[in-house]
Amino acid sequence: MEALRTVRIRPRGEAEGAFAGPHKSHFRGTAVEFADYREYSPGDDIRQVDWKVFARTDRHYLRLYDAERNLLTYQVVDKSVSMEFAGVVTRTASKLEHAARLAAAISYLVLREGDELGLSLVDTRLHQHLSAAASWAQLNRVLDTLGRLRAEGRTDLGAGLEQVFAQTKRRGILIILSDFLEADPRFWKAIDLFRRSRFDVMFFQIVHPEEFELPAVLAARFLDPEGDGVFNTEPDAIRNLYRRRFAAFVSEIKANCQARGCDWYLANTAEDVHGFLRRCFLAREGGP
Amino acid sequence: MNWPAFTNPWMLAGLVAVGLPVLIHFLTRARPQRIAFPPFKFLVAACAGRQSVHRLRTVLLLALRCLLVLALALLFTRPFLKPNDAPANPQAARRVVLFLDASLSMRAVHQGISLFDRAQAEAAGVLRDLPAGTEAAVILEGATPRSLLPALSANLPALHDELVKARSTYECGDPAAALALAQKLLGGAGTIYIFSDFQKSNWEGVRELPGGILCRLRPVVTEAEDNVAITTAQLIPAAPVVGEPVEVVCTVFNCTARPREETVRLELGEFTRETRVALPPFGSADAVFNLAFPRAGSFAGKVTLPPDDLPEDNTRYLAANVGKSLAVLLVCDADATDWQGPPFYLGHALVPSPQAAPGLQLIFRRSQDLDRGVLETADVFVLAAPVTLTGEALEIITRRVQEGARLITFLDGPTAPDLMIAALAPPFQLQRAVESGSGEPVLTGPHKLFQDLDAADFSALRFHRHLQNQVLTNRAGDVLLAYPDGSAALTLSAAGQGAMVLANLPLTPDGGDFIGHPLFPALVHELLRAVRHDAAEHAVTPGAAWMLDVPTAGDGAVTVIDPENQPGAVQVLASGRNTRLALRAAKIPGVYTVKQGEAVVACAAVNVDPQESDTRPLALENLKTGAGSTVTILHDEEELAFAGKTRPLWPSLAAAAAILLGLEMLLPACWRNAGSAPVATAEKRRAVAG
Repeated sequence: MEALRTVRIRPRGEAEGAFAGPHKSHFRGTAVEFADYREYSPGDDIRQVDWKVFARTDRHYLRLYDAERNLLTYQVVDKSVSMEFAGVVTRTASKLEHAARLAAAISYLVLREGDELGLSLVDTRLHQHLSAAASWAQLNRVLDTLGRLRAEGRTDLGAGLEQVFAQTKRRGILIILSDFLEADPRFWKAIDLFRRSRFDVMFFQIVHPEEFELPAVLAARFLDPEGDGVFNTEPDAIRNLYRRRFAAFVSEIKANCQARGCDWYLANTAEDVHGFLRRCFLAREGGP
Repeated sequence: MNWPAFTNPWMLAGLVAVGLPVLIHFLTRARPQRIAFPPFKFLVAACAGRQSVHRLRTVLLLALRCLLVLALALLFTRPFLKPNDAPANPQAARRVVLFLDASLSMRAVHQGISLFDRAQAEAAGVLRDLPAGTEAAVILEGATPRSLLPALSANLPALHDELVKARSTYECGDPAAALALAQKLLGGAGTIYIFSDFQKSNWEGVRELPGGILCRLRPVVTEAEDNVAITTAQLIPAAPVVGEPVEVVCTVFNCTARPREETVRLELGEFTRETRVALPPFGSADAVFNLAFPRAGSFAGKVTLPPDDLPEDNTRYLAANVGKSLAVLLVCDADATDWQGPPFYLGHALVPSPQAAPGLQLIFRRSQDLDRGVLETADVFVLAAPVTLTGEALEIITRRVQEGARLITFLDGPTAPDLMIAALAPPFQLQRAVESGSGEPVLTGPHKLFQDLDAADFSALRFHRHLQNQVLTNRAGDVLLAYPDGSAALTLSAAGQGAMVLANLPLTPDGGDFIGHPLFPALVHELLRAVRHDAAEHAVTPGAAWMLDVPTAGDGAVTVIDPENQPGAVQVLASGRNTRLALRAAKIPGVYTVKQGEAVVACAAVNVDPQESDTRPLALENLKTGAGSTVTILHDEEELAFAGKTRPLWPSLAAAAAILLGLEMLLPACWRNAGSAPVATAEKRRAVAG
């Protein structure tokens, strides 16, 4: 965790949390930074009237200030069976475990800043939803949920995200941890939904090294973990073709993310979580 | 070829090892590991169709390995092929005749080498490979077949030396005669190797191959020949006179399957002309040159085509012995000054004016005024009935016509039977004189006199008398005009070396309206032209002995110089005003010059036989085999090399095994390179991660 000591997660837009916090908000409040004047209308707090202006102009104006709010962060973890893959020859943590570790680390970073954090587990639907909260008790709940995480069910991220969207009250950061193997049009529509609501969306695509290269075995009977497909082959004979096809898929996900103004990170399960996150968020700070 | 036999047949048991690769494949193939693979759909999409390719490659590799084992197993059995045409009588294999086509067509050049040279080399190879003790002979097929040694000989080295010294000829081949000689040499049992181009024009004359003999046919032609030839070149008239219009007619034959256009060039004396001629595929066309010789004497020349695969038949030589004048002897007993008599009409028809008939010298004689001198010097005899000829005159005329003079006889009146000279084989027999008050028309016969049919409209003419006759069987082609009763009115026949016209036409005005009609002089002129036009060029071909009649004066020795300027052997058969020479067979085509002392008295052309120019091959399958004979066609040099021999198969099997082994090692390496590219580097992955 030492690696993440200086790392902070900041929204690209303005925070919309319920409590005052370190992040700039579009709410006008009573903090110190003056923003604008507005003419008084009945019902306004009379304490905000600028009497010096009234003395000069004989009209009632209110002083408006930029309020600083805390950050809302929603984490969505894909828990479908496809995330269970941990490799055949090159054994690493499973993609789901890796996603859980990433989610835990992110949770810590969020709550350390006093921001609110929510967690949703999805496969074909929203499975478990922890509403956003900003307490250390929330961290315990999140870690407890992640600790009991089991891969099951097929993937329908689109449907799951729609349900997550219905649960969100305010905009913030949406972090999705998945392999995105079933990124269908419905999924991208759901992402568009979040983006239209000015959510800051971050994709963490979890990939096992053997998904890039195929397992180094002589002969294999490949099974579709989310279906009935069976494919017998000698990986050496098709490795090149497969490699090109998978690289095209990853490039496609990245291009779709960038087209929607989302951040995209490729998380290799063989990599250290904390170093990876540090690299990602520091790059995000320095990025556009 | 028949089925292979094996030196070590018990080694065939090794064939069971063919299944070994399959067995090893199934025993050692990797057990597939079950892997739940999340990007399964990309795997399937990326490898769509590759699985079947992979399976095919596996099967191919397996088949290669099985074949490799099969080849190795067969290699140990030492297989060989027995000849399928081995003669039943072992002695027959030890009596061999090599039949080498040395005719002109074998001089054709294919791929830079002449057919004869190829055949000679192959025949020499066969001769060298004959086992010791074999008796052999080599026959060169030309106009007259020739055996290099007089009989079968066991001295194969000597025969080989003779064979390599042999040269192709310019002669027309006679395969039937050569086969007969081969059969005679073999005495009824043996083997004949025939190296030839199997030209259809020569070989279709062979009724059947010799019986009781093994014939191995080796066609040496590898491709269709590109051959165009000049097959005839004729002077019309054959013996022109000074100033007379002469046509040189050349027939050009296209022996290819495509139409073509060729340039024909004539070089004759000081004349040089060119013309183009369009030729249909496997067809002929005539090229005609018109000229007139300015002086008397001998003119030599040639007609040429651009060279092709067989250049020897692209040149045809011409020799023109131009006379000072043509002596036409008109024999008639009527008064020449009587404008109603035959001499008047005939004289004016033959020589209307000196300009109209340049070089023509008309000599008029009554029959009783004929002397030996005029009879011996006349070129054309015109006998206008009624004529009463003495026996001596008839004898001289007959001899002169047989030697090449021309005879035109008008049969009208009671002396007609006397003018039907039996020695000249007239085409019809006279029966009786018939008369017709209203007049009989004449009809054109099968032989056309006039090229232009409009000029030959005889329908308006009526004849009041004629001699009824019976045209002989097979001589109907000689008839130019005929009466409605079938009697011949006008015939043109060859007679010895000359020609003869019999005109069964009345020559007085009371006999019909022919005399005085414009057709009469035209007909007489056309008859004179036709009678001087040789039916065919007097073809003298290499390989055939020939005779030559030349005008000589005095007792000077006559020599003949060949085209290579070498004097040739000549025998004088008869001498006098004309000398008849007998010459040995010419070896090469060209113009042969006859000299008396230093003076050139005549020249003669020797040309290749046009039959050799048709180089289309015979379908060998259609060649009839004699009783008890076996025929094998050796299509290539390999078949020739193994003809009649046991052929070991181990070199082929060893080569096959080596190729299979190479493929077995090469293909998997190629597939590996094509199927799996170098391992994707971490840099590449990072680039994807952005």
